[in-house]
Amino acid sequence: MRKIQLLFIILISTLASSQNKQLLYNFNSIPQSLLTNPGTEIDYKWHMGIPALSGISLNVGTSAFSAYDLFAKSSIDFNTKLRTVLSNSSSKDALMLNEQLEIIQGGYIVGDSINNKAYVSFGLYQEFDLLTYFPKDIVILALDGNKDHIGKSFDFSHVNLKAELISVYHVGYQKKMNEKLTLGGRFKLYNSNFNIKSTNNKGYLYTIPGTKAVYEQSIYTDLEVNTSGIAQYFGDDSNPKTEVDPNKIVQKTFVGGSVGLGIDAGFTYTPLKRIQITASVIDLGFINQNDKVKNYVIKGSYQYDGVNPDFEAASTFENVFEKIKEKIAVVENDKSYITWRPTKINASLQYSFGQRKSEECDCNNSKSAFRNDLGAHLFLRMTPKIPIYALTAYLKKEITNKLQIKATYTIDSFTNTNIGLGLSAQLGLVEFYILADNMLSYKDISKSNELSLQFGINLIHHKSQN
Amino acid sequence: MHNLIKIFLLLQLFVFSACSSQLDFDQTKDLVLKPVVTGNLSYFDVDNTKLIKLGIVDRKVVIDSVNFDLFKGTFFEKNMDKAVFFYEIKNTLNTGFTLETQLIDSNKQTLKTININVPAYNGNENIIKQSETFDIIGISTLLKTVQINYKLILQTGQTINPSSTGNLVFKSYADLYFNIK
Repeated sequence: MRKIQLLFIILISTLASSQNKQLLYNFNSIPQSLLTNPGTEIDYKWHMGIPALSGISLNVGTSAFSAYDLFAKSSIDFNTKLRTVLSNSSSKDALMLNEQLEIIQGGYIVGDSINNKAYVSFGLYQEFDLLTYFPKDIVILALDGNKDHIGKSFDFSHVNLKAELISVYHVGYQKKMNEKLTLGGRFKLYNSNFNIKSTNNKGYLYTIPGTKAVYEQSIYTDLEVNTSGIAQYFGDDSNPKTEVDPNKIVQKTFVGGSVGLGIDAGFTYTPLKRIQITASVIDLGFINQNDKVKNYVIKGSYQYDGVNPDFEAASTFENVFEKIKEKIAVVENDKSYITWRPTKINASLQYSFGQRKSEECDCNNSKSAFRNDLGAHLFLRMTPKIPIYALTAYLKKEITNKLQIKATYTIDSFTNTNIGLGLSAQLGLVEFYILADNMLSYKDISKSNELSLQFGINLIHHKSQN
Repeated sequence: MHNLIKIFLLLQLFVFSACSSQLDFDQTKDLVLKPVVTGNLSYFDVDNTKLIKLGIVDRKVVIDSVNFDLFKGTFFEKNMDKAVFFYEIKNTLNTGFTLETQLIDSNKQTLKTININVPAYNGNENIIKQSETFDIIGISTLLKTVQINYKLILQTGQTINPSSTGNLVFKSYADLYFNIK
């Protein structure tokens, strides 16, 4: 039961969002925007993130209910709250968490600062990602049993979960092809600390009135749980560990896990002076999970008619329950498997206005000739079910040369009242940024369905600086 | 520049001073699962031809045993509160029987005997329903059960007529009440 509680807390308390970075995207005074589009136009000579403080991002939220619905301190019994949540949720409701911690990041222009056309950036970050759908039928079965659900087929495909902790080494390169087009790409090397995946499940369990016996009861399972790198934290059946050693997590952050490769690609295209089109694909890649792999496969079917006497003396003394265990057995193996990174797609269309005075415009660098940008941004994240989408309208404004703000309004799978506000400020070489999503929910974050926060400190040397 | 810092600090203040209702994650300890699982127990359908063939005329009884060790192991011991067995017999033979059900433990000892009186068919609907509840006390009997014996016994003075038609259909199911903390 303790394990059930732990799983329950993991599944439900750490819910979160789409990994959409609508505030960061196109916010090109922040170097981390290169991680949302390697082809984003920047005007740096060089930049360097403050180690471990340059980029911290956390997304939390859920499409069906908030932490408040379940965990609010009140006189209502927890089981009653759980039932309320259950009745308001469907198996299409996604629960997600994404956390990114940048360990190092830097970049520099290639060639001289006047005529350069290329920029190299590199870094290392750690990312935790969890995506699970609400396993509604399994929760109903656990709470109610089948007695009050005669005729219902409990759908095992509702078990749909993936979670991983990885570190990502990356090197990016962007090149201004001409006045209108900048192309960028990033090569990524993934080191997976651990992975759990159970996404392509099938199966059912039903009880219907029988024609001979009281019931016709049937089970079919085609379930698989793949794990990699988990055993070191939790031990195995013969030697279970209850405490996770944090040192081990840190050790494996850098090397020693399963390895994978991926790319980001993107562009910025300015067909007209005031119009800008951008698009990017992020994390198109895979990891070959081969580090301490343990997979569990449950494949089988059985129709249970009861344990029936036939009064024939010669009949075998069959053990029906042993037979069920044989037919629906859990088989373990250690075969390596491939996981695909959650690929994200961004696209934006932007209109610029508020022309700078001629003395403000440094014509030799790529700084926009306009102070304000109004745009629309589409975000898609590929998932095992339907893609998660977000559509954002944004206004980016340069208050002074040193201070830029961005305001966003986003409609997505989780909420349609998402207002975000971001700020980037530079003092000398030091740049701070803070981007906060779902501002309306900050009056009580526990009631929020979605929340994301990113902040960090960088050193940036702009082309316009001496 | 001071304004810039002020704006920055203000935004930070806003984000980091966000309010949250008090949450209590310890509530998961109160989670109690109380599923009720229903499933077939046993079923048989016999007619007079089969009963005669099985020797009921001479022996006055037919017997069979089934392996029933579902409840062994700690899961049921820890988590099952109550079980109810439901029996239903439809007799269209003009012969009266007693169905004796015995719960047997691993030492072949009879833990419990449940008798169901099945009157002969007289042209009217003849369905007998009976249930047996295993609650706090009775549940231990069930947990020890590894075998069920079924004895279909001719009632005293009853005979079976080879030319009569009809059959005896026995159906049973169990409701299992769990309390998983």
